[in-house]
Amino acid sequence: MGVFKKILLPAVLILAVAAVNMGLNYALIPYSYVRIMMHQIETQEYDTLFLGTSHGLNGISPKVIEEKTGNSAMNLCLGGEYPKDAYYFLKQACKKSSPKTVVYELDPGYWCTPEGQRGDFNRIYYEMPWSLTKLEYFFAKEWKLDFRAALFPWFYYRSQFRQMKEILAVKQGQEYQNFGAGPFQCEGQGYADGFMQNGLATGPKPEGKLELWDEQEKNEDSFRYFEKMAAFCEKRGIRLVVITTPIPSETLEKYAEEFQESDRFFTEYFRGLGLEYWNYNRPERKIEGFDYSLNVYTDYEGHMWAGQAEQFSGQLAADLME
Amino acid sequence: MSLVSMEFLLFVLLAAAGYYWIPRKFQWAWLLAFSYIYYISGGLRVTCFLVFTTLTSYGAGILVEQAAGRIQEKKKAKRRQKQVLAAALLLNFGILGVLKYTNFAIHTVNGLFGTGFGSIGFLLPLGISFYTFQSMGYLLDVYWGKAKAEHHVFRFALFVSFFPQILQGPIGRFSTLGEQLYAPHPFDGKRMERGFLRILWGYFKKMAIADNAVIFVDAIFGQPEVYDGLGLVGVLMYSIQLYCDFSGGMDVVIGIGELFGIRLDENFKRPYFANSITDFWHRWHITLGTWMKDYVFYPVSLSGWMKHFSKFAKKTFGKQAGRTLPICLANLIVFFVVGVWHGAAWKFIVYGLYNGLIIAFSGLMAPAYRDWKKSLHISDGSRGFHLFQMVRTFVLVNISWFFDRADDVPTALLMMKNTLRHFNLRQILEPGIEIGEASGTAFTLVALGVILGGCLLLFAVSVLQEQGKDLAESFTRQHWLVKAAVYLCLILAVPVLGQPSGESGGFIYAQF
Repeated sequence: MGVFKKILLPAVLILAVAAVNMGLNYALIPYSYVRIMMHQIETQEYDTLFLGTSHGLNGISPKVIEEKTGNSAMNLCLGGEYPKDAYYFLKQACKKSSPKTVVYELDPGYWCTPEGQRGDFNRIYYEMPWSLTKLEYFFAKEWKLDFRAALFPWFYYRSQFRQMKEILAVKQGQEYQNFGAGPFQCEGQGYADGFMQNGLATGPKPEGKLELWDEQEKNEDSFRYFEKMAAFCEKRGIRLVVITTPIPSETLEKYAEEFQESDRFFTEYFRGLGLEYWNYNRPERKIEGFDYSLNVYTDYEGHMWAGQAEQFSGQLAADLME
Repeated sequence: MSLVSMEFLLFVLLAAAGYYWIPRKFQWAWLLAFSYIYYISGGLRVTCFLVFTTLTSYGAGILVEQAAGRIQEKKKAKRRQKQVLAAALLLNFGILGVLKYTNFAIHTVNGLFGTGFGSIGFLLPLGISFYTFQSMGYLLDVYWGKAKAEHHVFRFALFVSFFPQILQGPIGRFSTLGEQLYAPHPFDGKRMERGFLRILWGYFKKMAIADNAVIFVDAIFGQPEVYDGLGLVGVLMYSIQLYCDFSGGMDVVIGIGELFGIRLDENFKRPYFANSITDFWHRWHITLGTWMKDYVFYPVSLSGWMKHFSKFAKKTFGKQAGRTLPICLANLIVFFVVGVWHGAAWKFIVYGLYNGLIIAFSGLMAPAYRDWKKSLHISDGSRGFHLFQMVRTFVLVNISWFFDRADDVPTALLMMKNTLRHFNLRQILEPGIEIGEASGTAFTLVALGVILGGCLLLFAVSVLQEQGKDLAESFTRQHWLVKAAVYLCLILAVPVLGQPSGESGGFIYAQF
């Protein structure tokens, strides 16, 4: 009886916290296309995988790649996906698939800034099913973070409480149960055919805060995990290609020095690793007939509209087949 | 290893679980191992400094003790003790000084003489100020015969490196901490519960109150020209942030100590209830204050040159001044050191001297105050007068926070001027003024509400504590359902009300 009384309080407390936590995770964390991605890589095999950042998510249509190459393709790029996340995403994907090619989309800003703790930064970890890879990912990512990130995943979504009703409605709907992309269709943007499709935006474009390459601020973790990814691919006989998607000529002109320096640095770096680096902003890699003007982008950073993304994907497919 | 990281929580959990699982005679060794794992996780190179301080203070302690026992001639023995002590103090404070203050000296020389010496990229070991002060305090205690030298090098290493306190204190005394660290501790559920409650309370103060206040503080102090009407709000928010951040950190540290059966010294005693600046320093960062009193104030006050100065003052200014002036001077020296300890910048020196000057001035004016109170029929025991003293002290403390938080002395002065000239609370709600790109959060009524609610709760708890009530003890006697409900509320309040600590930069005093 004494022992029972002693463990009663901690046991009840742990159960109560776990129950409230589960409820809040369900009610506050909105449905995300990362869930669809995770489901796809769990259930289907792919020949080509794309990893990287929001430029890749907005700029690479796996459907076009499949049509042109005849190989199945999956776009796993995400805003806020650092090489560390990409590495564990790839490991998870390779449990089911044996890809022939992995394309890593490089945004130099992710190699010289520390990982932030906002938005969807923790989404891949959250959606990943329990496995040894997730445990490894936990020690690589969650271990050093504010404990609320790992213990209370809803923490970063607590301001969503006003949308709780909508979130619950979506989660109780058929689309959510069937991993459908219906809930992600909104005006001007929508996740469909495996990538984020932007509408053609007119009017002034936001400049935002561009994260430009700065060698002095190198994020050592990004380099370390990319090298892990390269070693993983080499061990499995996977061809690893690094690309940088086209960005508006206005941005390139304004920050010419930083972009040239980044191209010089990464060309040398990837050469050292024995990898191919296709920077589609280099004069010799410029795509013929491709509109590089700001008109076809949603912002100065270089997120393309869907039509442009399909055109770019066609060129990428052709280059991959060469 | 940040105190708010997942890694730290699991580290403490593992350390506490193993502590009660292994035979009790090895508990201290277990703590030492975990303390070094903790420190090494911050870098192997910085650990060399910790080892150096440990070995030099350990060796010096034994040499000082041996000199007294082995050298027959008292004078010779004293001289030898002095030599050893001076060498150890010089080496350890020398390292602290070089690592922390060289760049400050370089910038000052550059500013004064227009030279262009570059900064030096020194390593700054974690908690160097805390462990240096703690180990030098031990050495001085041995020298003065207040403590016996520790002859077991590993036990001594634990005293210097005990992991919960090494980053931000409290600065422990060997006489009280050493004994506890080496004693066996059986598992005590009630104590564990108290520790757990204290840790939760600390995280609540830090994450729910301080991290919300930091939104306002960073914005207002970061752009004083934009928020020229919010200087008062900024400094009040800073007083909330600093108190909740530092005392919250202390609650976590002391709570972790309790998990191991070790009672660390309290560092705060409701400082904003202080009725004078002297009283404030008896309640704020108490272990630093007592360290300064014992190892700086008394040695300076009782030194030969101070006695000469006292005689001179007595002769020149009269008996009263002869007694007060040396104390004022000693206080000024102490607070100059306190200022320097807080950081390598002129604003910290001004901050320290400001406190020292107020205390010195109060000392000099004490007889006049007594006369005024008598003629105005003010009783020291009256509630109204006590309240007046508290408000006055709070205002004086807040003036010092301008120096502590502003980028530099001119900015602090500008903000003070703006506080007196403009006051525009509406700026807080003006749309379009956003703060810190890091969090992208604008001033929000929600944050204000959380701070206000948190402060009211803190105030209520403080009043009860000030009345001598042991709230933790009463809490542990409650029905388990009540306790579960309180724990659940505290646990959930941390993520519901808190801001991400990663964005606010962790604990302020963990940078010392």
